[in-house]
Amino acid sequence: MLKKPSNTAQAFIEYILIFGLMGATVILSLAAMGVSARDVYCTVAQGLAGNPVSCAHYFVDDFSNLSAWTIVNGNWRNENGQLCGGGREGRIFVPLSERNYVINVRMALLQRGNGYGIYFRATNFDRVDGYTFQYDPGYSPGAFLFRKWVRGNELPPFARANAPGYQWHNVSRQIRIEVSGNTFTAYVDGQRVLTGSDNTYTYGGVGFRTWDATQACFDDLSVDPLP
Amino acid sequence: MAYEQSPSLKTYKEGLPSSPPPDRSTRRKWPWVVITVLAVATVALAVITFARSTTAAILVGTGTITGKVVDETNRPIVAEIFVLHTNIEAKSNADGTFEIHGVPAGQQPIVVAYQGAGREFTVDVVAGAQVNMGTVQLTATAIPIIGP
Repeated sequence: MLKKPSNTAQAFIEYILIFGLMGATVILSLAAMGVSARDVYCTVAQGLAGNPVSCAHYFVDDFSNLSAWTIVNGNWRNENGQLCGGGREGRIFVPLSERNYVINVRMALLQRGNGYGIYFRATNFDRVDGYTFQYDPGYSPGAFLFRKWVRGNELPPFARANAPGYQWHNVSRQIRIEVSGNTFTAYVDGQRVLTGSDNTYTYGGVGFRTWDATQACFDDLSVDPLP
Repeated sequence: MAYEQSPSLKTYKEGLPSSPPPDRSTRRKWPWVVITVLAVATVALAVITFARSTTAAILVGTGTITGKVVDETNRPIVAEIFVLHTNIEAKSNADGTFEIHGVPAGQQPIVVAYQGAGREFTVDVVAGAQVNMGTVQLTATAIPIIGP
């Protein structure tokens, strides 16, 4: 004969069930909203004790060396503490698992050529899937673009803002790209220049791209949580 | 109840109680209400998560996409075809034709690419049926040179 559980034991089972289901509900809710456990931790920690060091950046690099980077192709090198590349198609990446973030490049200098790109939500680096923001004087009459990449193939821009007469070359620019859900916003020197949206890719790393006769250098990259 | 445990007459000197003492089992109903609500929410969220998955897309059925890829001079080309959000990819034949089986039913984004540049199309795939994309013309653009 089965012994009827005592009230204490029954309450214990009920609390186990409640906490287990609460945990499952929270995890599934976060997954449905695309929020990572790290985002939750950082948000809570920021609220309680300011911005902890571990949450300040997803990635930061002053390019004193390129040890964190995967060079897929191109002539990427460290020059005077900057990342420089160009002369042909060049792609360099750093992996990330985050979905939403802000990319800040304190110095982006196009010395010559048709432009450079900054990858975001990039995966499968050898045949890259992801997006680029392109600072693109070669795209007549000179334009800011968002492109999508599928298995290493570039697609026509899904967002484009022409900027004729813009001083594209030999001016150090600050680039900021906000990657939030399916919406991407690019700023140059603090001015919003382009907004676009696409639903294909949900997470991934960052990188740089050169093509044709481009020569470009970059310094002080940070990838941070969205404000 | 044993006779020794019966309440004495003193207990009832003020009269019989209006209602019996509360049953302990009825006082503990609230945890099961909470458990039921959480269980329903968990199942609903699990269904939403599953519905977004590739597995669910395949369960609703698959169809076939056919077509032909040519260049700007209408010459057939061997192009790559990708079904986004899946691992499905194929190449067109030397005569430019292609046939991709097992594509999840519904509105599917398809990318046709050649020499580093591609175009995206949306194809309405019907389960158990074949849909023809027709002739896809790829115009050469700036071609990235891939290589070390």
